[in-house]
Amino acid sequence: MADEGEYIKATNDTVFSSEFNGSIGKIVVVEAGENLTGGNTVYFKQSDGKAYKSDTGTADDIRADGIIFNSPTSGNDGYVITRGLYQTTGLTANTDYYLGAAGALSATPSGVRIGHATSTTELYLNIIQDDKDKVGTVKAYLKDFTGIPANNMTAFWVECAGQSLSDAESPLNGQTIPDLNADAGADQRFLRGNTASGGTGGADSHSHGISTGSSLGCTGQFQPAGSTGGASSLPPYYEVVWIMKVK
Amino acid sequence: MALPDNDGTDTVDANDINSECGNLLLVEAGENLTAGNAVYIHLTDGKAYISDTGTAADIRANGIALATVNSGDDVNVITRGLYTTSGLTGNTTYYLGAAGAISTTRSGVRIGYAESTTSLYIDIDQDDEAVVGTIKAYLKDFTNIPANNFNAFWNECDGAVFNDSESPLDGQTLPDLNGSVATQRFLRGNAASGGTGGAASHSHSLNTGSGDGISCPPKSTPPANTGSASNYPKYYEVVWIIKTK
Repeated sequence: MADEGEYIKATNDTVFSSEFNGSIGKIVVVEAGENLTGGNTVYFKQSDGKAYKSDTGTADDIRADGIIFNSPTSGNDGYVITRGLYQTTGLTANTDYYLGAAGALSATPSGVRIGHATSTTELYLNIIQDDKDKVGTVKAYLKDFTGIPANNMTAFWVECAGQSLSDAESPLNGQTIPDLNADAGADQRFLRGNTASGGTGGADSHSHGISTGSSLGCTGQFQPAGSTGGASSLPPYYEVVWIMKVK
Repeated sequence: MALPDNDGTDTVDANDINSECGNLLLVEAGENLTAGNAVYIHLTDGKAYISDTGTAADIRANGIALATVNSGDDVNVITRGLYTTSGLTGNTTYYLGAAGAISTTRSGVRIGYAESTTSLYIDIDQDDEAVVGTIKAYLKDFTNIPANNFNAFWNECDGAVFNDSESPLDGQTLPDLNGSVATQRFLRGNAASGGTGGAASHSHSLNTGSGDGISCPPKSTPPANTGSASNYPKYYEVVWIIKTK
């Protein structure tokens, strides 16, 4: 007989009112991709469908799908609650919890909000993370604005830095991401609309050729010739980091 | 059965299993609430407050309060699934309205879908997923953009000091990207954010060519620079907005 708050229930087990109101229907049985410990925040890897430990310490682990109840070793099934009431201990009541390091929960904001502690023992899971945009979305990000939380960018996005993407979970795996953010010169890009994406053009500066007018009978020393000096082509701008949704 | 079932004896029926289980959040009320109010959970104090299109910071929702309670008391909030009430229009989408009401008039927060005059399937859809610090373009003034469309999670990049205790950006000056001509900004990529530059217009210096030694009238001296011309590429004006919490 499973105790109150203990899962998975078997046939004829008692369902407790706390479970009924808060937890039922939110539990996924999933194979552990690595050894996991009860209470770990975990995510489901898109390429192999297994559960792995979430972790703000590793960029690709900054994401979450739920919290695991049991402690399966790699290859065994885990029980993951994805939403609703999760019973634990040591929470601070009336506090939002975020993903912390190595599967832990933390009251320090990060890019993944896990849920809301209504008491020291009850966490209402409602995971909010930046994972809804379609793959290929490009958006502006104020990476360096003061107050932006650490570990704020989730595993679903990469900076558009011209790098080769190595990510088996992404349909863009192995491709070169557009270089929109290069530090200096030509590859700091503005975005421009077109019916097809990917074309490039423009320049940071320009000059003009000079047409020589008709002669008045003398060829003056002061007649402009050749081309003008160069000048900037840049409109007023604010620098952002362009990021792209890759999975 | 009536929810919540706190005595362990009520019968669970099909509706409960299919739609309501696991969607109740028991939370402290931060102000007096009335049963049926759409409410949100405040990010700083963790309490439930009345959602309201009449106040910019209240345009958001986490669920509907199931009981009338005083500030400081606990209340059950249904966050998703079947909510039984009365007076709905069947087969209609409901949005957040004024002072905790739900409304068939579009706003920035979609609350759910009325299956019948008494059943609302709650599935809250609001623009709250993007990471803090995301900048995006918004057609604030496009005809037929709904009133109260802009929810509490975003702010215009207006160069003003931003005061919001729920935001990690509280107290800072937001970038001025939408302001006067000098600060109407295009966005340009860089490895680090926040740098500025560029200008609305430019002119060019002129090179003086070599001559053949024959003097010309004094007025033939060319100007040192060309006239001024715009730096603007073809553009469409948007309102840049930032995710603040």
